[in-house]
Amino acid sequence: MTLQIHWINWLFWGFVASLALVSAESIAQGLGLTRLNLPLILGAAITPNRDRARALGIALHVVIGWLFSFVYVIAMQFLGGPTWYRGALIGLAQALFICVIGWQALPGIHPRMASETHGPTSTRMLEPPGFMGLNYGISTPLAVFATHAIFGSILGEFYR
Amino acid sequence: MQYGSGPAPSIGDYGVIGDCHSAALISKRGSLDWLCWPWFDSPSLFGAILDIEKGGFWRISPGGECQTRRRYLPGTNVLETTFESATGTLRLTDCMPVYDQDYERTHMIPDREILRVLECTRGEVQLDATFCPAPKYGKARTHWRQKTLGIHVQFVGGALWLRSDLDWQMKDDHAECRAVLRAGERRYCSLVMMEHGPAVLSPLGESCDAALAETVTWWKTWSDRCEYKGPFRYEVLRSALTLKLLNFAPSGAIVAAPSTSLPERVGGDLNWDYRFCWLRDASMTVAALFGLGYHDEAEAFIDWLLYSTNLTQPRLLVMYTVYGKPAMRERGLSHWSGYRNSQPVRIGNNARSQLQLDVYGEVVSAAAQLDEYNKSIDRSSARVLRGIGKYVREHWTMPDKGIWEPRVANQHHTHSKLMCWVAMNKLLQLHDAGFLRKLDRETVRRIRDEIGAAIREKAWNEKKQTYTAVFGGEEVDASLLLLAKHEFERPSSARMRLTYKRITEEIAAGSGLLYRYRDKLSAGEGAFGICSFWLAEYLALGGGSLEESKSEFRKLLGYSNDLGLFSEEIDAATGQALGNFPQAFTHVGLINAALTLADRCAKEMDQERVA
Repeated sequence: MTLQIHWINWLFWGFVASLALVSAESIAQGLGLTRLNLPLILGAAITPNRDRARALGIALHVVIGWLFSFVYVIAMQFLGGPTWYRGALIGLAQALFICVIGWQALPGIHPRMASETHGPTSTRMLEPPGFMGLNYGISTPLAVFATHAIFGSILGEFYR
Repeated sequence: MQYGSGPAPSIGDYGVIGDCHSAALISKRGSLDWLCWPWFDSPSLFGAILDIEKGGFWRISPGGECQTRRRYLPGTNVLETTFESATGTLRLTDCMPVYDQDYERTHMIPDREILRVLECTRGEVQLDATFCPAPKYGKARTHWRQKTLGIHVQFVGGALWLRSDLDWQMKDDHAECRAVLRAGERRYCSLVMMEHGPAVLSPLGESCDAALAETVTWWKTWSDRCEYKGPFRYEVLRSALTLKLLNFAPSGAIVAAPSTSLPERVGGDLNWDYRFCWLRDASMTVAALFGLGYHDEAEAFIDWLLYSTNLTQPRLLVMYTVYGKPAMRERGLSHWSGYRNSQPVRIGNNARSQLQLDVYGEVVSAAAQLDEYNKSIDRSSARVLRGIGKYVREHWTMPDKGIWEPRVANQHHTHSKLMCWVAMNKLLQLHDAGFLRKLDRETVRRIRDEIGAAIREKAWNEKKQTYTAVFGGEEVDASLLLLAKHEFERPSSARMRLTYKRITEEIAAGSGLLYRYRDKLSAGEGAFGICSFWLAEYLALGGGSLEESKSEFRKLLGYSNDLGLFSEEIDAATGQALGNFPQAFTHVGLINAALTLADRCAKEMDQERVA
């Protein structure tokens, strides 16, 4: 099997999907479904200033999403070609990984996140997500699954 | 969850803490009974002041009988309550941390936090503490978890984290702490809330001490900027600190009070939501801030006035939210019993859509103070002011609700006409200072003179020898004292003296207090705080002697609570605070009266020196 990448398509639709992901997360937050704020969490790794962290985090999140879309593109090729449901499936798989493993590991690698076991310190004060991100609201897993499914669907449907 | 024995505390039993975004009321019993987060007008988290059973509270105090004394740490809004029991002394320090911008840039800090620091300073104290939040006016379903990080209370729209080095035990819908503190022991409780995004959790201990120290420094630095050197400085500074606490820092707006539905007559229905910004307070608030040397706050407030009202200009609403939106439509919280059964409990305020012509004069008069303090007025502000002038020109002849917002038919209120006159007069002043070059000077002057003539002719009652509250009326109201303050009449003019005499005969409540007016609608209502200060100010302006004015002012100071806080009204019989608390308008009245007194003192000293 040969791996064929349509670079321009990937760059464009990867960017669009990433923007859609960040927007969908923001909407979920605005609707009160979750307090998960990935831009803030990402930005807080760089600066303690919350306003600056939010702004930086948005840019970081878009770029990371953009890069991740490349992994989706490759994965879809291996699964038989891009379709919206294959994209959504990969999104759901990634969301499952984030919820079950990612959130648990995050306090260990984030320089400003408190740990459930050791509590906050003067430099690590950010609330950890807890199992499945439930600290950020009981609908958090739902929001993570939905937003990543949207991300994958957009890529699967439009990347050719 | 049982609140405690006996009725709800008196309104004056409360102290207030805040962070220029929101404020909390804490009783002498150490019970936090009112808090709306994240903003002043957000739904409440604790509301026991309006329903001791369902409102929610957070009490920290010794169990059993004890004596209580309170104070603010000097120059701050950090509240210190000391409980003396038979076995020991407990000192409770409450604050909502605030930090300077450099600290905020370099530290991760919670968006909203309440810090309660307990210290046993003598003997030993049996602690009896209960944490019982009731988010969204007690209507939200809460999901509680006790984790190693603290107690986590989740609800739709946000989450709370209570962190403490005390041993809190979680029950169904509240948490309790029964502990013994011994002399020298210090404990911390930190409550944070996040609406959007992960919370920032306090590590307690040294970190809390650092937050407390930063907060004390922040308030002291702010207090040190107060340039007031006149009489009653302590009380004036306390009023300034209260005003700052009610200032919403992100927009510059100042809310009338942090509470809703504290009754103007206990058991009655005069219960309104004051968590909004009234334009009618504008010029006096700006005068108070400029007068004390708080130019940044005054300019921010004027900016808010001119830009946040953009959506409705040239028509101005009576009140706006802190972000300049129209205030919420009024509705009742029927599930709450109200402060000592004063129903209904209202949120939102329907007075928002009333026509009150005085607000135009208030806004122009506020902006005109920029000229008086040598500040500039930019083009877009000038355009807004001209637009207001045009609106007044076209509408001043209309009847309106007037400053007191009675829910009855519109009338031609003298105070509203006065403020229309003030609007025109100040526009002329700004034009002459070179700010409003495109203003049609002649038309504005003509309208001003027409309004002035109308007031002199129709508001003067020849038979009763007084100005009256409405054109062609018989009754007086306290706002007539402002005829002198706004330089429509000289304080010593015959008409003003006669009006003053009539006011003291008809609406005085004794001991320096004044009702705003007397009619069948106001029966049972208290004396009005700011009106009483207007009386003292009128005397200081020249309506009386310096000593008379000082004496009236001193009497009024006696009606504050032990912390120097005033509510909207005062029960003339008992001296108890009534209405929403603490009230910015009353504190603005205190500051302006003191500033006028200080001016008068300075003038008399100069005269003595010359003589």
